This record gives sequence, structure tokens and C-alpha cells, in this order.
Amino acid sequence: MSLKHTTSNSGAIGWYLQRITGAILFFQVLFHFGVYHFVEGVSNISYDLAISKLANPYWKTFEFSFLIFALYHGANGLKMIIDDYITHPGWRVAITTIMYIFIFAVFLVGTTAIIVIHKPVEY
Amino acid sequence: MYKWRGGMLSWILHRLSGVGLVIFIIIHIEGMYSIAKGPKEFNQVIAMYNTPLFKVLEIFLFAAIMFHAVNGLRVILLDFASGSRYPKPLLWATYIVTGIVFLAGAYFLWT
Repeated sequence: MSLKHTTSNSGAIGWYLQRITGAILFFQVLFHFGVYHFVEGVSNISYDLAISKLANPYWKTFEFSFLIFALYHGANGLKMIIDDYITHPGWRVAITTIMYIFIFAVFLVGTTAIIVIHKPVEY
Repeated sequence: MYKWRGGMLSWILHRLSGVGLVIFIIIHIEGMYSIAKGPKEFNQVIAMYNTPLFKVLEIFLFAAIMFHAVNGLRVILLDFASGSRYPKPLLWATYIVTGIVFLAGAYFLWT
């Protein structure tokens, strides 16, 4: 792998997947943001509302797939930026590895939040 | 670098909004994790989101999302569709569509 240039050398697959996930995310982010910020509004969101939304398997699937596409797209974007600015091979590998591990940890936290066994509401 | 014809400003804004959205999604997921802790913890996070500071941040978030989404669509049209035949109208359309949707949405979110 040549690292003579500062530009991305990560190959065509990441390049294509960034556009494919981007096209999917275009609709997903507008739907997700639209529902919570425009239809419901942040002031109307509560634990009960969030639980009732995630109780719908279609919504849960949507949120989980949104999580996967968004985090993949974000990690892939960060990889492109790392390749552009970090020219030292060792540092590039190290920073890329740390970044992927961190984003995977965020994925696990997000998965827990979406696929959690919810506690019943106590009044 | 990418074969984007012209539009260096849009390239910089795409990167900045992209990094901003990654930082946001990390904070967002951390905040929404409170749903696993229970109603009290989750509603406390939502109460914080309803303060004026977060209302302003919500507007900034909406701006970043709209620009990144519309400009990303422009990149896809340039790369895969015949958008590369009309690079300048597409770039103008990106700023106009982003601007109009952002202003209308921001007005709704603020009021």
C-alpha cells in the first residue's frame, strides 16, 4: 500500500458504500428527525412516548438500521479524513483502529438503548 | 481528493458538518442510553433538551443535517447520475434547497 500521497487510499468499496449508505441515510435522517422534532416535538417526548414508539417492531427495526447505517457512514467518513491528514503509516493504523473500536463501542451502547428490555413504568 | 467539480466551500462544509454530526450522534446515543436506566433518568435528559441552550443547538443540528443530506445527494448525482453535466446548477440548487428548508424548519422549531 503506497502512502506517498496524503489522499485516501482505502479503495473503491468504502467509496461506493459511503454513497450507498448516504442515499439511504438521506431518507432515514429526515424521517427520524421529522418524527421526533417536527411531528412530536422535543417538548412532547417522554419516557412513555419513547417506549411506545420502540414497542412497534417496525419502528425498532428502523431505528436499529438507522443506527447501523449512520455509524458506518460516520466511521467511513472519519477514515477518509484520517487517510487525508495522517500520513505516517503507524499513526494512521493506530488512529484508525482506535476510531473503529470507539465507534463500535458507541454501536453497542446504541443497540442497548434500542433493543433494551424496558422497565415497566411505575407511578 | 474527490473528483468534485468546483465547490470547494461545499467540500469544506460537508467535512465540517460530517464531523459535527459524528460528534452529535455519539452524544445523542449516550443521552438516549438513559432509556435503559429508567423513566426518571430518561425524562431528566429530555428536560435538559428543553432548555433554551439545547433549542439553539437543535437549530444548528438541523442546519448540519440539511446541508449534509442535500449536498451528499448532490455528490451522488454528480458521481452516478448525469449530474456532472450540470455541476453549477446543482451546486446552486444545493444551497437554495438547503436554505429554504432550513429557514422554514428553523422557524417551525423555534416558534
